[in-house]
This record gives sequence, structure tokens and C-alpha cells, in this order.
Amino acid sequence: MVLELERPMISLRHVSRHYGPIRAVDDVTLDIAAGEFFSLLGPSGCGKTTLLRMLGGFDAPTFGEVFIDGKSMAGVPANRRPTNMVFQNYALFPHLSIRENVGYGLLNRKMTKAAVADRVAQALEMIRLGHLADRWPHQLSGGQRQRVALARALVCEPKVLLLDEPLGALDKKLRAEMQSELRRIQRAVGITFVLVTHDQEEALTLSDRIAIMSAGRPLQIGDPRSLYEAPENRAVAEFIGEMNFFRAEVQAVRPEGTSVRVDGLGDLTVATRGTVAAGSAVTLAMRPEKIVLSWERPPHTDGMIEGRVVSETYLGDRCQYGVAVANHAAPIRVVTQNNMPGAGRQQDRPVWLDYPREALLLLTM
Amino acid sequence: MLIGEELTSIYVEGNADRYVGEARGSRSRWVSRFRNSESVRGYLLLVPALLVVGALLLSPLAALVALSFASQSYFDIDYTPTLTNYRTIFAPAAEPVYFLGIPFYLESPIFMVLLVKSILMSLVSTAAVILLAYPMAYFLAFQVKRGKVIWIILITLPFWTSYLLRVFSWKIILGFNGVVNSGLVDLGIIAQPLDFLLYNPTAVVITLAHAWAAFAILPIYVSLEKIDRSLFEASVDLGDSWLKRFLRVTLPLSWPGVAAAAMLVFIPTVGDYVTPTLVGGREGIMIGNIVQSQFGKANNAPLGAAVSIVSMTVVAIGVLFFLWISGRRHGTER
Repeated sequence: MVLELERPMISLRHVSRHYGPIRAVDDVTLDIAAGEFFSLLGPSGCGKTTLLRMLGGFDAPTFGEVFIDGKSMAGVPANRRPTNMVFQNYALFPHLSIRENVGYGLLNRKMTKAAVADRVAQALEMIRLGHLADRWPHQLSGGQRQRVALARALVCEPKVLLLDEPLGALDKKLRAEMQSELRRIQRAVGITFVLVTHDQEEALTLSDRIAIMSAGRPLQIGDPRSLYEAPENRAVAEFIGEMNFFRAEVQAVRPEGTSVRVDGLGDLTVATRGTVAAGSAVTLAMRPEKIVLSWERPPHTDGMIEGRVVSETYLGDRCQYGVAVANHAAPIRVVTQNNMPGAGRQQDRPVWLDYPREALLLLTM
Repeated sequence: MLIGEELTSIYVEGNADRYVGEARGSRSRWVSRFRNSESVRGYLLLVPALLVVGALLLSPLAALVALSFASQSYFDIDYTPTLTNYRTIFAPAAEPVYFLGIPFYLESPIFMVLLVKSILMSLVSTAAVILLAYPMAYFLAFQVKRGKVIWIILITLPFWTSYLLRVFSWKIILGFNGVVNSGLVDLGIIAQPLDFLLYNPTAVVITLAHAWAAFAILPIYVSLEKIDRSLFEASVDLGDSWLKRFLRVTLPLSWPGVAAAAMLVFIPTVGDYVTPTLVGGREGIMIGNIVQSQFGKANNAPLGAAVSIVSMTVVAIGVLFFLWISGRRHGTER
């Protein structure tokens, strides 16, 4: 799972953080490239925030070592690290104006007052809040505070920017706006961003690469497309997006693929992934939107599954149906675009499901 | 009376349509407007508190002001309004009297000199109290993880004894045969007991600083406790060392607590007369001692009242100025 990069900005080598008997972070080894937008994605308590805090210097690994830009960070306190953090609650100083907040870190540098003022003005321009420079943090909206926190960290020109669930407190619309803003700024400044989030959509939208964390370890690291299209194990497949799972038994492993007998789908040949042996039990996974649903009986039903609609969930632009099929316990979830008239209130109707064979993913774990 | 009116108006309104009709007069409308007013309701709820403040605070103050315009004629007090007492305090003189290099062009400068001296001693005590209390409050807020309540109780422990006893205890510590002197003599560091420990302004300042410490610790502790911990991390993240973080984040954000502590200590200590009486000696007397003697041995209560009023006014102006100064920077918060 370790990706060897040419010149990693961040290298974690067997990093663990134990709190008593709890292993918050458990033997993590990974590299993050310079200029990359990297996300740590996972449910709360999976160790992603602890990992971020160890990068920032607010927590020290129990074992292992953190390197930033090739230098070991062991014993380097937070104020001497080339990192800056955007805190979850923004942590703007309530006794300082927006201008003073943004310039806070620069006053620790050997810079003339004019140079500081210049950089602060530039940063405020970048986040489009130049007109609010003399306001106080409590006078700003959540989204504006968020941008000030971002500017305050970015004016220090860190090598790595750490973001701890920065959009968690914003409403959905504002969050989408801030996401594109974050992406724009990251492209503009070219700094390595490390984002912690539990919002998979946010991680998919923003990141170059994502590490999906669970119980202190990354389950899979990859770009958003590969994580969504080719999850390596059931936990990742479950965590990102919706997924149908089928129990199956391996019949034979051949060069052209693996023959499996699948509950509800019958005998099939799918692409071999991982190591499988004939006779072993495996799981097959399929995204609901890959399945094509026909309300009328098609002329050729070879390879299709016949089922009955048992539930319908209206999602605005899409509809999700539960389709009960023979020989499979849970209804198969199917998502269709609402671009055809006449859909709706289709309970108990017989339907035919078709799917491309490559949509079926073989999961060994 | 107000409640009676309310009941009347409810009665009138309730029956208005059936019996009174258009006879519903302007009085009833006024009463209903009165009844529906939020602020009237608020003041009604405040009545008990206002009565207490009026009876226990404003009326004695008014009596004191009235007394300050009276005059003493032998054993009686003449209540004919006069400015005699204020003239006594502020009567100008051609030749100045110097106190700490400040010239006082006054006929009887003792009052103003003592007031200035009291304010200075009180300021020094307040500064000493804050310097003592801040580290303790800091420790309590940031270092103590468990059992904070026990620590707070321990801090207030000295206050379970009377103020008088606490002052007396300093007499025992600083006295000619006291703890400090006998300890130093027994250790052979000094041959003779030091006589400059007690009965001077320094002794008063030390005693006041100790006696009022807890009043300063608690407000400072509360203001430190309220600071969002992530602000400290943000400050370090932006490159601050421990000292810089303290000066740029901790101190400014705990300033309201420091200001409150300063008020709580400064205001009562200016007028204190117990401590200077017991440990101040001849050198350490303060304005409170003059007031006390005017009401007692000197038998001139109106003059004592006038000195009180002058002292109160000066302290009030000083405090308001201080609040204005610290409010200019911090009033915009929250």
C-alpha cells in the first residue's frame, strides 16, 4: 500500500500513537507528494485527527517518525514546523481584528511593518474579504471566518497546510462554495494540503488522493476515482458511496477471469482481483447506479435478473429502488436518473435488471 | 397598587363588550397599554431588588451627603446647609506642602495628602495582589486537571477566619519578636531584631496584598478558564513561543478578569482603616483612619462625611477612567 514517490513532502514511517491501551494511530506508513491535496477520510474516532495533529506538532507519535520536506520532525515543536493549521472551530483571536488575525503569524518573522501589511492585504484579497479587514471575528459569518482562518494560515507560506474538518460547521450550500474556493486557492498557491474530513463527498471533490482510515490505519489510499470504482475491500466499498453486496463462491480461477456462483445472480465470470482459490467464499460488489432497470420486459432477457420493486426513495434528481430478487436476501438497490416520464409509485411491479459484467467487483476481504 | 390596577383592567376588559360597551374609557386603554409594556413588567420584577438597593445603599449615601453639608457645634450637629467642611478640605494656602515631591497648596493638606497616599498604597497593594494571584489562577486553570474544587476551597481557606485575625497574624509574623525576626536571629543572620518590618506602609501593603488575594484569584481564574484552548494551539501554530503566546493571547484574553480583580481589590483597600491601624503605625495611616477619627475622637462627623464623599468621588473618577481605558480596547469583543 506504500506509494513510493519521487520527492515526498510528508513521509510517515511506522507512526503509532497510543493512549493507554487505545491505539489511536496504528503503524501508519505513507507518503504525500509536494503540492498534493491529500485527504484523510474516515468516521470519527478512526485516528485521522490524531494523525493530523502529529503532523502539526500538537501530538507526538508513540512510535515511528514523521518527516516533512525530508527533515525529521522528532522533537520539533509546533511553532518551529513548516506547517500551519486551519482549526475546526477556526480559532480566530476574538481580541484582534481580521487584519490583525491574518497578520498574526507574520509578526513572528523578521519583516518590516510595511511588508507585513502588504502580505496581509494580498491574503485578504485572495479570500475576497479585503473590505472586512477592520471588522472583528464575531461580526463575520461562518463562511467568512473560515476564509479568514485559511488566509491566516496561508500568509505564513507553510510547506504544508493542515485542515481539520474545516467545512464541518457550514451549511450544505456554503460548503459546496467553500470547497471550490479551497480547490482554487490550493491550485493557486501550490502548497501541500492535508485535509481531515468525515464527509466522503468533500474528500472526493477536493482531493488528489484520499486515505480511507479505520481503527487507526489507512484501509486504502488512492485517487477518488479508483477508490470509488475499485475499492479493495468491503470496508472501503461500504464507506464510500452506496454498494450492493452479493455472497459468492469461487468455482474456478482461469486466465480470463474467476468463475463464481453468486447468490441471486447465478454463475458468472468476473475479473480476478487479489488472490482467490477455488471453493473459497468471496463477496461481489456492485454500485446501484451501474444497474440498468427496465420496466417493460426486454426482447432478450439473457443474463438479466427479474425482480419486483419493493421500495422507492425519491431523491429529487434520482430515484432509488429496492428490487427483491430470488435467491438473494437483501433487496438490490438500483438508482435511476429521473429523466423518464411515468416513473413513480411503482410498488410491486416486475422489473428487469441489466448490468455490465465489469461493474461486478470481486472483494476477497 | 399596580397589581390592583391590573386586576381592575382585566375585569373591565373582560366585561367590556357585554356591559360597558363604548364607555370603556381612556383610563382603561392606558392601563392595558401599561400592562402590556415589557419594560413595566421588567421593572415590576425588579422592585424587590430596587427596594434593597434603595434602602441599604442609596439612602445611607444620601444621608452621608446630607451630613457632609452640616456642621458640628460642640456636642450638636447643626443641619443648616453649609460648605464649611469642603472649605476646610480645599482651603488654599500660599505656601505649598510637599508630599512625594507633589506640591499641595492647601491650608490643611492632611486630607488630600492622605488621600493621595492611600491611593498609592492601595495601587501598590493591588499590583502586588494581581502579581501574586495571576500565577495561582494560571496554575489552577491550566495545570490542575482533577479536583479543581478542592483547590478553590484551599485558596479560600484563609478567608474562613476573620479579617481582623488575618491582619493580626501578620503582626505576629512581622513583629519585633515575630516569626521573621526570631527566625533570622536564631539562624544568626542578624544580631538584633529588625524594627523596620512592622508599623510602616510596607507592612500595610504586605498585609493588604495577602488579605485580598482570593478576591483576585477567582475572577482571573474564571477569565482564564473561559479562553478557548484551540486559541493557544493556533498561536503556537503561527509561530509563538510560550512567552509570546502569553503576551499576545493569554494576557489580553484574561484582561477582563484582571480588571475585575483590580477593581475588587483597589476599591475596598483605599478606604481600609483596620489594617493601617494595626500594622501601619504612625507612618502607615490612610484616609480611612482620618474618617474614623473624625467620627470618633475628633468628634466632627460632618467633616468626616465630607472627607468620605471627596475620597469616594476621587476613587469613582479613577475607576471609571480605568474602565474606560480598558474598555476602549476590549469593549468591542464578544
